Amino acid sequence: MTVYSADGKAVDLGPVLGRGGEGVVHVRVGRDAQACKIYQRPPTDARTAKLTWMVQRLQQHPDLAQWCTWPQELLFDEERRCVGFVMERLEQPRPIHEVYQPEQRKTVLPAAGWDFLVRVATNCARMFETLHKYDVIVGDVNERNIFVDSDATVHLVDCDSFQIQDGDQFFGTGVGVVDYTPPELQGKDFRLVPRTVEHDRFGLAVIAFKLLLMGRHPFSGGSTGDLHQAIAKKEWDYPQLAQRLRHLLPWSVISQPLRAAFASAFTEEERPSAHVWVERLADFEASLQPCRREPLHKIPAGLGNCPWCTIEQVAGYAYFSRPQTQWLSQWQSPDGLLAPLDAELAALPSARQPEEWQSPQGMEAAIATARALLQAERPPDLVGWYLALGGGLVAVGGVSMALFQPARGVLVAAAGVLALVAARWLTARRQVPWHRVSEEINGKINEMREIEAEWKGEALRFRDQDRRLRAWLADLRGQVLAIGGQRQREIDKLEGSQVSQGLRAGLVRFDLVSATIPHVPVEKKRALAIRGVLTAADLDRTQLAAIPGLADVQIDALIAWRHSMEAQLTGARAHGPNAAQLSAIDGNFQQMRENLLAEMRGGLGTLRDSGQLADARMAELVEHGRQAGLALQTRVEAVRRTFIED
Amino acid sequence: MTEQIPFAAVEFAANPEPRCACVLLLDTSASMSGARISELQEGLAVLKAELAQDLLARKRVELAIVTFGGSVRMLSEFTTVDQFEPPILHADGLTPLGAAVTVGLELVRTRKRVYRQNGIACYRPWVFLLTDGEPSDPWQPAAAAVRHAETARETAFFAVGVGEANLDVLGQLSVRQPLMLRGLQFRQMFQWLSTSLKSVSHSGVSDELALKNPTAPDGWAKL
Repeated sequence: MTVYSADGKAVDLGPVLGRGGEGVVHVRVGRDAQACKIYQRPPTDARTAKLTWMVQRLQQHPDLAQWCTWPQELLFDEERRCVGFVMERLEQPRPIHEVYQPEQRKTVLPAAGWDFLVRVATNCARMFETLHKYDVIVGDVNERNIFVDSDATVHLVDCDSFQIQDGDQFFGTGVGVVDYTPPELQGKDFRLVPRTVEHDRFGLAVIAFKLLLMGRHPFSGGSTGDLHQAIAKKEWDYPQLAQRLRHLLPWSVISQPLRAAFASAFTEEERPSAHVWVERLADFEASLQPCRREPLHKIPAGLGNCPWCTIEQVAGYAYFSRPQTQWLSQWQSPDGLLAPLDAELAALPSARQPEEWQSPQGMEAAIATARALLQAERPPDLVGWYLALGGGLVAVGGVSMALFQPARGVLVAAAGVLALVAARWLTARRQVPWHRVSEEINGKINEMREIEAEWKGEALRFRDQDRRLRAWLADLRGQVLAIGGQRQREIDKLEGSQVSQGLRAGLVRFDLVSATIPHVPVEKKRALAIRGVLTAADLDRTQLAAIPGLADVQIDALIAWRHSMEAQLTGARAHGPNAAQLSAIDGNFQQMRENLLAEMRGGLGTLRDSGQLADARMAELVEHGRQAGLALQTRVEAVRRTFIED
Repeated sequence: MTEQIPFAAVEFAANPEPRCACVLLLDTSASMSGARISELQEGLAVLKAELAQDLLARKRVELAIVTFGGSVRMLSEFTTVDQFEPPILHADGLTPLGAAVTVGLELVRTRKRVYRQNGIACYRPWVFLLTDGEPSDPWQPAAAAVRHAETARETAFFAVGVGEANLDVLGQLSVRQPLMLRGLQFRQMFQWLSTSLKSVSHSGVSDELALKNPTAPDGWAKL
């Protein structure tokens, strides 16, 4: 289909951006900032007149298009019949219900705090203020035609349904959504009742309420849960509901001027104007500041406890939290942490067996030489022997001479005795050093045996020390690897305890006797009660099957009933540990892992140092042994020369 | 039980949108085996896909699936469309239709109580019955319960027959005119159901809706 602008030029329709009840919105080819709405059925004359009026009005007041996709120019078919209009194309069309619903908002606008939502509400009020200034009434206020940008600015779409009054000209809205319709209009035919500014103000108050109070509709409490009835009867009961339900924001957290504005908007027919909302919301936003724990928790200045933190603690739901992927990504695999340590260990020389050390050289040879020396035959002591023999003869001769010549004989005998004594002395003199020498040499041999023993002992000691260090490192490494599992178990435990405790605590509340369960009459329930089956928590198929007199259909019905009760508790089940609990767990295990890694680094240092120490000590012993061997050899040579070879 | 502290708070804190509970009571008796059950299975996927496209309906419509073939089973608990996964259906056994209807009514009643405890607004729940046969159990008490629920405007009960379904019984069960599926147009039927649930979950209107007539010449049903 070809469409034309007012000056007859063809307008290219691009891809479809969206479909509504009455038309299709296309991209305008060549004009990225514009979109074209084409009606599925040709608009009525009244609709065409309304659009014509709107396009003209925009010429006079360009600010009308500041807050909404106001019709900018009409589009025609070949026969100059209006088929649609050109409007602003929204960059990021995000309906407001995705912003005020907490769970979706946390995903689409993770960085948005409460102040952001208050700002969106203020901008909505500014939007209504501008439109009301030009007597334009939105009429069909609802969550599907307000769009929010990531900078908190807002835009209304479906502007062709606005109600417009200009002198005699009246263009109605004709449609509406119950949730945003004031009490006085509930149940009325929207096609017949003209809308007023007061009606819009009710819708604005509901939108602002939903933005500030976590997507709750102010009338969703009510006595029946039916919004139409609740609004018609002005059953606005959030303040009471928030006292009963712990997951709701306490009403007192809202500023007094805003509370008054809400109360008046929901129960009176003269409601706060958009301008009043702009002022009070802006004041409220200005009073907000982050709580001490979480920057996204914005609370009015002067408030003691953070209500958002309190709700997280007592109800287990975080209205504001950054995406959980953040804490997940903080947990890294240990591989990257262990790799450098593994490389460092691999670079160290491996543990040495005692026989792999260099042993002291030359000791055995020296000992063998010394032993040979000690066992060698020493030449006899001829000098002493001859002297003694001579001395003896002389002495005997002297004694016999004394019979004839007493004086000479005594002298000769004395000389002989003297020679004997000298011989004895000489012999003794030569024997003493040999003992000393062999003692000395034996001592040196023992010394070398000691060096040998010490070398062996040290080699064993170093090997064992090396083994112990390596085993300790391996153990630490195992602990580091095991931490991932421990962390997972801790999380599972938390989840498990929350699930089973939560589920059981919940199911225990569903009393079997007071429940209506098909096929299970009261007598049967009493019979079950006798067997300890009292609440939904006690219902288990295997256990029920063991109870006599219970038909299959009854078991099925009981289990179905339990399942339906469980279904009501799904919220509790879907809710695992929250981000704070998880990051606490991660923090603990990360610290533990850091400690282990630090210990491993220390252990590697000790291993490296002890290896170097061992090398030095063993080399020292080898040198020591070599020196001792050399010294013994030298000594043995000297002794041999002295005692044996002369 | 109304005095107790609601337990499901987290679910409703995360998503405080008004809810529209819908229980599908699906006949999975032996006579449904073959093309019927596979077309029905396809139809469930269509229902999920169609509803999921609607940004509001996916947060507001809660589906539960109860089958009756041999025994009454709850295959899928109440869950919003964005988390709903169509269960796998198997055809087997007799047709305990009466028990299924009773279970279905009880489920929506209990679910509505949970909504109320948590201050969640809700639309009138739907119970949507689909059967191809004759009830194998006493269904009259169930019929009385349906009448009561409809009169009290507690539940909207729809009955659809397939193939050789006993329309007389369905007529006595349902206050509304029961419908016969044309051929095996399960897809079209679930498309209609999703469109209807979407408009229910948008209108906020609690009174009767102008649902698209499924018995129009291009519709999926006949009287």
